[in-house]
Amino acid sequence: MKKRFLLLTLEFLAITVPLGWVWIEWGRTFYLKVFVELATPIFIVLGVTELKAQLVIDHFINYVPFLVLMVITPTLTVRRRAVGTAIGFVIIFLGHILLASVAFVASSKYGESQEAFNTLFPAFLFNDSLPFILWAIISAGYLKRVVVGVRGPRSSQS
Amino acid sequence: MARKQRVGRRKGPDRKSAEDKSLSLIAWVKRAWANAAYRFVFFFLVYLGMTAVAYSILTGRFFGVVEAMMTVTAQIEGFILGLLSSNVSVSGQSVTFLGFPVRIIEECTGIYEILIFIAAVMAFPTTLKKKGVGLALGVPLMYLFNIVRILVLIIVGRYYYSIFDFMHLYFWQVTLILMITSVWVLWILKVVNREEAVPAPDA
Repeated sequence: MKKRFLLLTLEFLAITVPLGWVWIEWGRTFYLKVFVELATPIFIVLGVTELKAQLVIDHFINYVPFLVLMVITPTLTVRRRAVGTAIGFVIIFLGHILLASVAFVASSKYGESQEAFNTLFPAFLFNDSLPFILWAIISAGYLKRVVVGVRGPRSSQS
Repeated sequence: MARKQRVGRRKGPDRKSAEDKSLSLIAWVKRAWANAAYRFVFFFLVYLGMTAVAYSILTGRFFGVVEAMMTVTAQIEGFILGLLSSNVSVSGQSVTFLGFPVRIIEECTGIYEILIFIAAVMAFPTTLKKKGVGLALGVPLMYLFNIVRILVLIIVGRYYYSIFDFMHLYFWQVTLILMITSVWVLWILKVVNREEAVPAPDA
């Protein structure tokens, strides 16, 4: 188990470094253009009139850790891996829309004050933990068998 | 009367199908709930929401504590960098290493990782004692990782500025998931599963 755990960590690092590089060099600029194109109709419905890109763009990188978690997790079938990644990408995209909307509301209401950050904070936290949440859902079987190995009583859940 | 019956016949199957749908939805929820991993995700989201909202409210009222955390983080970085060079200065929340200045902000205190980790530990189905151990060991470990991360960033910024932007985003966002997942899994392997091992019966 320890060896497997170490191997997974190394795999994670080995794949995220080049992918992260690609994202930062080209991916984020390209994604921002695609994001604006796809999200604008939704923003119009939500009443979001301005994209506060500088506030949120750094948080859009969460595709990378999610993709890598999906790639390195053992025992997943190809179908589950592919469908899970596709659905996960859609959810992450929706999470970005939510984040951008909250950023718009927070900055419109509070400007650049600490209150704006406090309003944005739950959205940041949710967005940043999305890869972990999605991975836990899609890899539920693996988590249960290999990592969690739940043997404790259900009643111990607080 | 005949019309009523016709209407009744038309409504019947619709209502049945709606009932079937709600029953299958309940069955689906029950099936999902029976899966420990899905239960974990549900509780994780609940705890994450609670910690995020609590943090936002508390920092709104006691921002001095956050400022103190930023200052302490800057002082720790300054102390460690001081072991490498005498050309280090710390002023409030700013650290300057060999002429390379860095300002420690709220997000540099490791608060994201710590709150997500707290939610992950609290949501895990185990005893309160083990959760307590997880938080007591895991939170300082996360903070330690964060100190190392900032340290690496400052050194990279000073010597390899061309890759600083990449390193900053990579170490901040990408390794966040790795830090949380690895400390959480380590806690499960070392603390949660440890005492559950059943001793082998005598031969």
